Amino acid sequence: MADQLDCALDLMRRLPPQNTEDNLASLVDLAPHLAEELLSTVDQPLRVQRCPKTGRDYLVCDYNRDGDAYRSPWSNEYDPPLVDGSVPSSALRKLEVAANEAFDTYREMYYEGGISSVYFWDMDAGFAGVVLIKKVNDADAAITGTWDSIHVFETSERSRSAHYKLTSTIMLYTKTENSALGQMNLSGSLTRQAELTCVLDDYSAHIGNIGSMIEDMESKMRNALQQVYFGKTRDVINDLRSLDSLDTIRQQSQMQKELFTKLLERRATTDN
Amino acid sequence: MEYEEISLEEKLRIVSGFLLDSPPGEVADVLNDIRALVGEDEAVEQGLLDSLRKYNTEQLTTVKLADQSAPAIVCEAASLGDDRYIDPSTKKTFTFDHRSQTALDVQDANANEENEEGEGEGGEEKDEDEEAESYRHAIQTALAAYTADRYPEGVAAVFVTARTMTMVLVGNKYNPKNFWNGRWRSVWTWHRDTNVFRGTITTNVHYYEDGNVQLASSKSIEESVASTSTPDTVAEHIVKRVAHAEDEYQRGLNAGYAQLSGHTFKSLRRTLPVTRSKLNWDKIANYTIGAELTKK
Repeated sequence: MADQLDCALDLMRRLPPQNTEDNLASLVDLAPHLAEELLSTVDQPLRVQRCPKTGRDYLVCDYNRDGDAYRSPWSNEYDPPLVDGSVPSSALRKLEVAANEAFDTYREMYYEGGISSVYFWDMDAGFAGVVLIKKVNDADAAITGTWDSIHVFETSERSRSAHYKLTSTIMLYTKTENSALGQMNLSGSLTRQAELTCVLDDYSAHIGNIGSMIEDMESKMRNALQQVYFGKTRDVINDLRSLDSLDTIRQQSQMQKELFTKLLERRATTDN
Repeated sequence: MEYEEISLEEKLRIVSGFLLDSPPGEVADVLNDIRALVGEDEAVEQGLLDSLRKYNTEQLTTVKLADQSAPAIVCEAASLGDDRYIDPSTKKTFTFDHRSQTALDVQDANANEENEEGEGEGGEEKDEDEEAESYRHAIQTALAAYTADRYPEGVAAVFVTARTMTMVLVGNKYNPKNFWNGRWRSVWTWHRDTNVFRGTITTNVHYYEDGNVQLASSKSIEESVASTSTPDTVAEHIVKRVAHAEDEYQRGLNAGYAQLSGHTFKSLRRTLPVTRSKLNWDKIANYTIGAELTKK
């Protein structure tokens, strides 16, 4: 079984990220016995839902789902309503409310728009949570972009410190079309992990600890996205085909080599 | 726990879709994953073979017929039916095993022609065939030189059917050790009577170290080329059009990268807030916690 799960996950790493949702749904149809593990392991593009109570938009994922209902971070209520839907303990809910507000500020500062949602849940040794951010840029239909951040963390408290384990995935979808290039779709996701131990003077210090850990992670990952998306894949294209004559390039490098050899020889003779 | 089995038809639709979506150089990996998931099933295997045939011809799979020669391209234009294909540059025909991507039973294409001749083919048709072949050969020579000068690992072939020349070009770079693979495909047709010149360029790149990032891009081109007289001038002209169109596409793609990186990506998330410094989380947290506690 473990082997089949590995194969299913390997498939998801190879199939076009442009169709992650459809691919995952098909994979679940094909191997229904892996459904639960696949749905909780494979990150999907974040969907937006409106909280009926507050009228505010929030993000839905597997972590705020109970059956077919999703919990709003703003009202703490499920939609459609659930009588016994699981919610965080009252102390953790307070922290969750504060975290939602803090990440709202963070999102405004870095994304200047978009939607964010934070969900916490109680664990035996502490708590765990997920920070979600989505930003869509579709003002110009000919060139669009979507960013989805999914930061899942787990924390365990020790006397006056807390240990955090973070797994972050950023999904980035970009698309452009024009007469010169036809259509171009550059999409996918990167995942990174980090661990950190911080001082914990006060329960509320979790927010700052998690906040700056995620801020650092997003900065690093933004660089990685820049390098992989717009550097690496472009290099591959220009490796596949050269805009300049390969023959000319070879001649030039041969000439440089000869020139360099001559320079070395000349230096050798002058040194003597 | 009991699970509802999907129909064989549905199963085939899914696995075929997966297979046809395989990134460059990874079809064997995708096939292994699919087999591990569906198990041994004769009906599925038949379906997979049909999908592999489609994948290999669509993706312009290359295969070596002999150690020393340039690879042949398995594609629609090369198909003779029953999984036999022709390599027009070496004039060999072969059976392609779509599962193992290997060539079997390689034979001289001329052997058949001679047989046909023996049966008394019309002389006029033969002249026409020879004329078409002189054009095909001239374009093949020019296209091969162009491919060698622009594609570090490119393969090109030219096919002739009735009054249409089909030029097929594929360049692959596989580097699974460093988690990336790429493919460039171009298919061009030139109709000798109408002088209509059509083409499609498709590029795919997969990067998958701690992630899955893919570039999928394609462009269709249609224009008419000026009619010229001799096979050599036609070949020169046609290959110039190919080079021009591919240069324009590649420059467009590089500009697209610059635009997506410089505009779209930047406007999604800033590197730093407008204040040019990272957030003061203590301040934010204290403020929000304070607000929450005084709310009561």
